[in-house]
Amino acid sequence: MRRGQLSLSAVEAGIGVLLVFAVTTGFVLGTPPADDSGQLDAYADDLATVLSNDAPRHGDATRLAEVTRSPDAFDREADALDERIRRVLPDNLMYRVQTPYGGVGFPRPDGVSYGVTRRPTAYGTVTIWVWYA
Amino acid sequence: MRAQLNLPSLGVALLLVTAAVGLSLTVAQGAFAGAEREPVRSHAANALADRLVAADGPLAKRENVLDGDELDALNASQLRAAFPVVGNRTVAVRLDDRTLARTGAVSNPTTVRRVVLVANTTTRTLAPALSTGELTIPRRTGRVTVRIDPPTGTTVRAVRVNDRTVLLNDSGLRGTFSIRASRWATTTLRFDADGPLPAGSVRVTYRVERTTKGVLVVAVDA
Repeated sequence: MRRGQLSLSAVEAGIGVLLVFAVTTGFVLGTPPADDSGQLDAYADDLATVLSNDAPRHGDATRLAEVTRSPDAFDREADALDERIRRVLPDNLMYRVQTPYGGVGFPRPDGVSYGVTRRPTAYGTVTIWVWYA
Repeated sequence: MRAQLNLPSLGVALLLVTAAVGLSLTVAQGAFAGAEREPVRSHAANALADRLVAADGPLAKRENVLDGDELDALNASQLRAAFPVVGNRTVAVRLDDRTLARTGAVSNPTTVRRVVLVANTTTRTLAPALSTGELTIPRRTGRVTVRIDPPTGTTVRAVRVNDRTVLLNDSGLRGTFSIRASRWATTTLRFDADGPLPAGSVRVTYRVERTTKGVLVVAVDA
């Protein structure tokens, strides 16, 4: 009888603890994080609205249409676009604006929440990402 | 032998399960507190912010462009009247650090921030002598007011904006006219006159809009 046998109640307790922790895992993993992407989306939307209502520097209808017109137009206007975005966005935000001919702004990091908006123009779609610095 | 060992092991087992349950309850409570949001309040804050920056909003000139004069004049009762979503809530609207209007002291608000431009308009007047009959307005503007008062012997028959005829009268134009121009292109006015137009015979008044950037902060309390 003196075998190293685990007592029955210890086994029961072990199973019970496992069950309780299974439920707890549900709470930990199942709750969405308090995300702020609504606010970030609003920032991205606002930025797109401001840019698409800006008068162009040279041709076309708006500043966004101007940078999507051609590779040359993008190269010419990219710095001015970058400057404009820096001035408009609050300081605690980073941004990336992608056009068919290239992008301006910062490289996008992994594992942060983004606000995204896409604006079609006559020559292509402009995608804007913003995230907290 | 076994019956004696059962009692302490039962005690340890109970202790383990109790500890596990206690820990789980703490975690659950934390998750519950984290998931608790104020949907009605945050909806009110978002709705008010959306309405403030909407193109046809009472303070806006265009989408996301607010009228500086309207913002200066904004107060709590006006905010309540213009934005029904405010209702009886305690609301504060700030532009960067400047409080524009508030209906009470907000303590623990739901805050929504929007990027806006604030436009301040000033009017400028040009009244040069027109030797070529052409006048280019130095800034882009949406609306131009022209007062035509030619000297005797001169008739202004037509006014063209960028080669588009906007005013035409064969017997001569005289008086004040409002002309729509494009905010997107430089405006050149052309006066078709059959005589000289000295300084002051044509007065062109246009509005210059200066926009500054800002962050509109809408804070809504319970």
